[in-house]
Amino acid sequence: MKPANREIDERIGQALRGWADAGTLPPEKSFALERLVFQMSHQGQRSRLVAVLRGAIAALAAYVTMLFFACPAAGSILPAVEFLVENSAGPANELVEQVAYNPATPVFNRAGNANLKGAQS
Amino acid sequence: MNDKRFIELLHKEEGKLYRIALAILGSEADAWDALQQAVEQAWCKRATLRGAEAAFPAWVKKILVNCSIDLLHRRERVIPVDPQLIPALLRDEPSPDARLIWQLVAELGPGFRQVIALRYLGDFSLEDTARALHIPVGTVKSRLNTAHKRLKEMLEEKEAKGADILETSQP
Repeated sequence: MKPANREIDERIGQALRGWADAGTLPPEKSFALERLVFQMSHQGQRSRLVAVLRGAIAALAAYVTMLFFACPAAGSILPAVEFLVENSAGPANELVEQVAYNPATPVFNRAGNANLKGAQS
Repeated sequence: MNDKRFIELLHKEEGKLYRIALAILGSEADAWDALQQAVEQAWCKRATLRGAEAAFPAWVKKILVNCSIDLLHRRERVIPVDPQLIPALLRDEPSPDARLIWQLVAELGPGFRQVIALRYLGDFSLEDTARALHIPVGTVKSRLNTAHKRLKEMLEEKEAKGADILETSQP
């Protein structure tokens, strides 16, 4: 750019930046912008609250559903523990039974073998 | 950034932002639309503001210029310089240079106004200005050269008139 053009270029730039900096917004428009920001802020807070509530309701519904499916009285689809124990054989199930019925008895003896003394079956 | 602090920072910039949008769009109603859109976008994107509050003026100006360009293309019309706009642009204008520039813009047309506004107020490069306005870089250069030449003539005329006034006022 030629020096004369550069001078004009800088002059235009300075003049327009000064003109823009001196700009003011009418009070009603300024207030309208303020209201717009407050509205967006409140809307955001409401959305977050709604999302939290929805999450809590979904979690509660999932919990109740799981309780229902796990409850034998309500026709559970999951077999009860007694049923599993009655229809099983072997030391592993006996161990489970012992833990369930005699929690005070140590599960393993000193030799590290399973202690099946208190088992019912 | 909370809403109160955002509003405080916005109030410092709003007048300048409005004038930049006005210079690009050439209509007070469109400038107001662009400013509202820019404020909405800035509020939604405030988490992306890097450099904390010191960067706010440049950041929000960039959003506003982009909103103004979008609006310019969405309206898909060339907005002639509204004769009523010139007094609005010159309202409370103390700078004689700015007065001359807006008179020049009124004389040259909307294409020149957009180039001048983006170049000097939006801090766009020649290439960015060309891309934003969907015109060749050569057109941007030629419009700026024409504006420079014409403004130089106007300044010389004004200075000559000023000298005449001084000479005639002397006893």
